[in-house]
Amino acid sequence: MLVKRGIAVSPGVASAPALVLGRDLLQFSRKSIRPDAVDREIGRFRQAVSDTCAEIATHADEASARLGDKYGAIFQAHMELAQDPLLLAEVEQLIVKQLWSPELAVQTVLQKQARTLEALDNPYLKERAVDLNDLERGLLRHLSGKDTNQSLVLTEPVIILAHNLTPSQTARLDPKFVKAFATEVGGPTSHTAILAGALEIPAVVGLGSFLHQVSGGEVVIVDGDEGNVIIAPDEAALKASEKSARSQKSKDLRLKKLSEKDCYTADNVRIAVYGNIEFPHEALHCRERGAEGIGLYRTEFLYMNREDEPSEEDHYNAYLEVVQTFPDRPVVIRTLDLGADKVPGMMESVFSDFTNPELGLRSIRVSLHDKERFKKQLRAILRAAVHGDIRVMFPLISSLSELREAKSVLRDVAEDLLEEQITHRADIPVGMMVEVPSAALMASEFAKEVSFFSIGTNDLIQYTLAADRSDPAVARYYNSADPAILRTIKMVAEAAAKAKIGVTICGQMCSDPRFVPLFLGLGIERLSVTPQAIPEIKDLIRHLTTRKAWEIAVQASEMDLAREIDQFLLGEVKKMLATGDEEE
Amino acid sequence: MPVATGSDSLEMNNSNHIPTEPSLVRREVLVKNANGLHLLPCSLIARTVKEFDGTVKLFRGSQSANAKSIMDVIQLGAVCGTELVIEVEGHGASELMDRLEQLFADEFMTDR
Repeated sequence: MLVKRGIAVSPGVASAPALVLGRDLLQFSRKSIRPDAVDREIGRFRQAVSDTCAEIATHADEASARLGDKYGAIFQAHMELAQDPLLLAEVEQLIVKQLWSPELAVQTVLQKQARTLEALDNPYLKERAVDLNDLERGLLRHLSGKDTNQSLVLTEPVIILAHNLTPSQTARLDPKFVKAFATEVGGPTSHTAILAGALEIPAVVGLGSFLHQVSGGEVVIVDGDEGNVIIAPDEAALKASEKSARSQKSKDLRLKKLSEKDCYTADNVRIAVYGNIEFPHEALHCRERGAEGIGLYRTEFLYMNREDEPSEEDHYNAYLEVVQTFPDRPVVIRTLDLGADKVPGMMESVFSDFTNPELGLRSIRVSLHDKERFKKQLRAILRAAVHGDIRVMFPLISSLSELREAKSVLRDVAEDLLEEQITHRADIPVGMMVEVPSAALMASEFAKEVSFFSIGTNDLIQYTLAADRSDPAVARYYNSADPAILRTIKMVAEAAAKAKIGVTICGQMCSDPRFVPLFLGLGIERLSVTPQAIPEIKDLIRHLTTRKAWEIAVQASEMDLAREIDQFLLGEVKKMLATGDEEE
Repeated sequence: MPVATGSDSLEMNNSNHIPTEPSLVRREVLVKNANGLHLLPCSLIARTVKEFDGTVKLFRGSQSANAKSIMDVIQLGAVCGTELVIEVEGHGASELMDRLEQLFADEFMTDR
């Protein structure tokens, strides 16, 4: 079993036999031409250009029709590139003056240009070298005369592994058979990544060199949520992935059963289960899966996969879509949590390349650093708030003065809107993420100044245990079940209860069933989880009594080793689900 | 090639008494879209000037690029905030200049 970590660019988990795409399928032998063949070779080259353009036009139409105009535009740009007069002149020059074959000339010129792009400072431009690659392959294929279009003819499910996939290769993947793909290179803003998301197939890119360790045909798991690829998985890993596939299959049935009802424990205590979303359209997925509102809307994704800064209207329209999906339910909008692992191309200038970005300028610090961007977002939030129950939440708060500063910007924005006579709601609940240990330690003080807490376990764990969650080398130090984490959560929950404010848990930890009884036992009555996990979590809560949850929490807090706690919680949840199945 | 410093158009007309449109127009523009002139903006520029029967150049300082060539323009490395000078020469230069200026002003309608 081999586990590789890359960049998750399209969510979902899939497993299937590997199909390895060769690094370069196009070989040509002729390097030079005879002087009397120049005209013929130029003609052949021009024909290849026009054939390539025709093919790109088909891709553009297909992509527009299948995925939307935004994606078609990528291929429109390829079309212009294929007709770039300087590129064409440079190739023809080499054919005429150097007597090179069109194949060699195309390869030389396009690879040289690709290298030029790769040498540019701007990472966003660097990734465009793949687009040139795509063009080079297209031209060489048409020059070879084999107009095979190289569509993969598939008859059974596979997972595509490749050094790189070009945008046109990606757009042509058939989601019926291609269950996922993973590539050695590529970044989160590449056109390939964007298309994978649109096709809704799990994808992981930027894995580094690994193809030499794959022979093809072995089973591969691609986890597009976590960014992991497992080659030749062992039984346990395979079971885990099959389980998630199975739960996907049975979900329709369970969704229907669960979607209408609010959630109560077996002893009739109301537990609210909300959904976490990145994109407005996911609000609908949440509602279909029975979410009772949105507990965490990660608005920074408004900044991903686009080239310009979103406008106030962009923010407003996105929030409107979410609140219209949940007109009478809470919608918690978290202000931008950019930085560290999430730096959109347009903002690279803001983030200097410090070696420790997790402790640097990120999240609320970025918003307070550039208040104009922050105000734009807050204006949109207050304007959208008239349409429902919108609440605003500040991420990564680490001191009271920081919270007060953020709140004062919010007040300023409300005053501006009032002055400009723009419809808005100024009195929305203001909450904060508790994800920095300093905020947890000061929770009682913070509780007097906010309407709710939301515990973000991902960052809380990484900062409390000083373990980078994206670094595989320290993965064993990043432990959700660490007793220090339990105590921290308990402390925050108690401070919230004392001040009579709500507390939600919204990190990945609460999408994991084993921790749910523990959280309930600690007095937490709101969970915000990934949409897919909602039915499972609700099901579990229905089989649980608060008495049992409390006992589990008490027992767990007496243990002093993460491993011990982990095993105990896992055992308890297994017992619970086993009895649950018998009942049904 | 010297760079125009004025903010408005520098319209040159070598025959003052004939009221024809100027054949050479030069204007300063600012790259406002966040990711600068990369593939999609460059392709929009190329598409706009493709049918124009004349020359269109972009200057960044002393570096110049043929606006009809995506690769040439990309290599200006014009990031957000870069000031460029557009020079259009040929029949219908003013009208083309207006369209180019609009593209920059609209931030190339990226991601709408």
